[in-house]
Amino acid sequence: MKRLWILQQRAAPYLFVLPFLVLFVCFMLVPLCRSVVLSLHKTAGPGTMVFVGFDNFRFLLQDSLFWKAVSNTVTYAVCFLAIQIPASLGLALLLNSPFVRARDFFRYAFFSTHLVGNVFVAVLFMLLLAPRHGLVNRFIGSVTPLGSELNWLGKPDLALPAVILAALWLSVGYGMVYFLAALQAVDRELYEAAEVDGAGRWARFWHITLPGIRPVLVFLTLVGMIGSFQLFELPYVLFQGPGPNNSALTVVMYLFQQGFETGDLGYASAIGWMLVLMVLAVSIAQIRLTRADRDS
Amino acid sequence: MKDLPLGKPVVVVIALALIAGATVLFQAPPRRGDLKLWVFADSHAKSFRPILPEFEEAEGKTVEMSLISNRALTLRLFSMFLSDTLSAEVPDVVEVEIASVGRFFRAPLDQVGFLPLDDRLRTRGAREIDAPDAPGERGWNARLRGTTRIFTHDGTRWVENPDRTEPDHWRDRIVATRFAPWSKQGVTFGVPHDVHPVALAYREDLFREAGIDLAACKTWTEFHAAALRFRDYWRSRGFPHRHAIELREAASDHLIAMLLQRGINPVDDFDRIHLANPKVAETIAFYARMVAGPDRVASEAAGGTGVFAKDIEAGNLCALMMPDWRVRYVREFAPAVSGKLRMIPLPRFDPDDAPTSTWGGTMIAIPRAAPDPEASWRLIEHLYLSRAGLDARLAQTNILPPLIEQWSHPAFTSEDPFFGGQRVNALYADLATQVPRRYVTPVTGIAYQQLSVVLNQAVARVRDGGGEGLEAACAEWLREAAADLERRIRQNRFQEEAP
Repeated sequence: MKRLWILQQRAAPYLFVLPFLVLFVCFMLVPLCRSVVLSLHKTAGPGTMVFVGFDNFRFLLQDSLFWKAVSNTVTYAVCFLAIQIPASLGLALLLNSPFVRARDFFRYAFFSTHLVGNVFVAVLFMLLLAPRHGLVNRFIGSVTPLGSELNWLGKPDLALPAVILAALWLSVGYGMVYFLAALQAVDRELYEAAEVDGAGRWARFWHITLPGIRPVLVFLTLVGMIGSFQLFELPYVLFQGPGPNNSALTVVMYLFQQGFETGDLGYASAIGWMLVLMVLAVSIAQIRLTRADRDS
Repeated sequence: MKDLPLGKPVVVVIALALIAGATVLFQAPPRRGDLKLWVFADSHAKSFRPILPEFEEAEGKTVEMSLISNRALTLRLFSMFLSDTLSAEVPDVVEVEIASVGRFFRAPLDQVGFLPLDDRLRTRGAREIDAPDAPGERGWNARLRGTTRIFTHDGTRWVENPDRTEPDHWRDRIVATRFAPWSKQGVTFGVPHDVHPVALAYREDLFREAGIDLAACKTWTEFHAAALRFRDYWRSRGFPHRHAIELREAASDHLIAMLLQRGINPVDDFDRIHLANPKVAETIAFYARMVAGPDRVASEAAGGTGVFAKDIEAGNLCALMMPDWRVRYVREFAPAVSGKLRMIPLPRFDPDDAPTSTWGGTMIAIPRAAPDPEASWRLIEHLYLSRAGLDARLAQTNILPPLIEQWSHPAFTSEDPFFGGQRVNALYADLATQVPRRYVTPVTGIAYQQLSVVLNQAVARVRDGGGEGLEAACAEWLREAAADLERRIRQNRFQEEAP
């Protein structure tokens, strides 16, 4: 009996981990390995599988549409983060101030946009940006000489800004909540000491607030960057495709197009792995940069 | 309860989970039909539902119809074909939309997930007449019921034709060009649900007020000239947003309709690319001048069901390419224009162009893994090709069926008060015989994407005032697009399929 008890004690941790492990292996590891195999094949079902080596990757490197998708995705990621992080921080600073009334209401109001999800936002912006009838265009038409016929979703120059606008509407509140939590964790005494030393607002922000919220800043940037590289639903629903002149074609949308619209799962797998490499490279670079900055 | 080590909430959650699990586990499985039918359009489901009992009674089999959103249906079916086509979940009969069908044709011919239907189309659905004075049309061949005698209609009556041993079958009775989207390398995998001819609908009241008789415009050039006069007239009266026609500036839908009109598919069912055809560059250059620059006469509606109809109603877009399926949206979303609309055949570029095009479409097919293809086929005949099917369809939509003899139904010949008493369905029926072939392949989507890129380049050039030499520039861009497409087709093609 004692032996059994010892055995059970030894096995318990593994038994606890087992359900996760089984699910992980079945739904993550096996599909991942399978996608590596697929990326080396040309396939149209179980009966049609031709080994092509690295042909899919070779083709990918010369594929103008893929590079267009990469360029769009990187442009989106940079523009989105360049606006989202400061906007979220600004909002958090504002709503962290004791002088603002109904702070809780505004906090909830700004965060609530994040609860509705990408597809809803895309449909909403499709209506908001509609030529002639859309609220945005009506507003532009009434206050500027541009008129109310701006074709946001039909002009290549306006397509990506439209996606960024919608994405910001969706996620600025989300970033704000993280920054609010971080701001509230910064030691109040540091501000008081700095004030005694004669530090102004800017100096306090730069030397106390920013270092204090640094981990959240890094986290949001990293998560935002990875999310940007995975951008799909928003432009897909907004434009019902890659947008004018492929200006809203993202890497994941191209992957979807190749895998499920053209039916080339091998090529789609190759695109997927290329995306993994890109995200990995950007993440490593980002982590190293922030670490080097912190060390210095 | 206080001794519970995990606390009350956790116990409640566990209890709820157990109850929910047990409920799911012991729930009686849903009743499965003998035949599984997948449809994606609500109007199709509504038209099939009332006629299924008749089939079930006649066949002694039950039919389980599932209405699944188009995207979900396509992805599920595609995944089934890719993974295990013998799965019990595979439907017996399935509808597929034209924009989704290309992906299914990627596999080599013998491994396409659908069953080839050519044999059944050539041998079933024999045309029969009860007497030589039965109604018919020139060239039709029918068997006198109860005999082996074949009659051919000479335009006025049926004449016995001893040279012929076979009457017309489904293949001959359905609009021939309509098999094109559902075929790969000449093998047909689906029965068409529709023809979707395209006409030009316009606000007769607004054009008349501007002093323009649009029905007199037989060519696109004439139409453009009339549209410019229309624009100037309304601009001078304070309507800067009143546009003569709806044409999309960046997407290729309308452009493709024009190219089809000229008999051009960017890629055909043998993967031959036709982008280098000089007519493509000519059409794009013409189109770009209609949507941009000083001679712009077009604008586009926002996305969303029926939004274009609101623009028609408000007089923002005063003419539009109108396939038969779009009529329903105008009726539903723009009731105020009742009596103000008229329809004419599409203007042409050249005299040998078709006065119509085609836009959209659906097929019904049988997956190879269906256990009883014969029963599936009979269900298709009942839903798509029977008189009961036609009556049920007409209760939902005015979509013209592909079976030519059904066009004599009163619904397709009567006057339509919404169009000022015009016989619009008769016009559609007239155009339907001239509908061009439209092919769909796995790379068709990419080809359309490339066309829209070239269109964007052309539009940008016109907008920047560089209309000079536009056609030559378009030809060059199209050559590049064709070369890229060729690479993709090579990459996509399986060795055994090399033409």
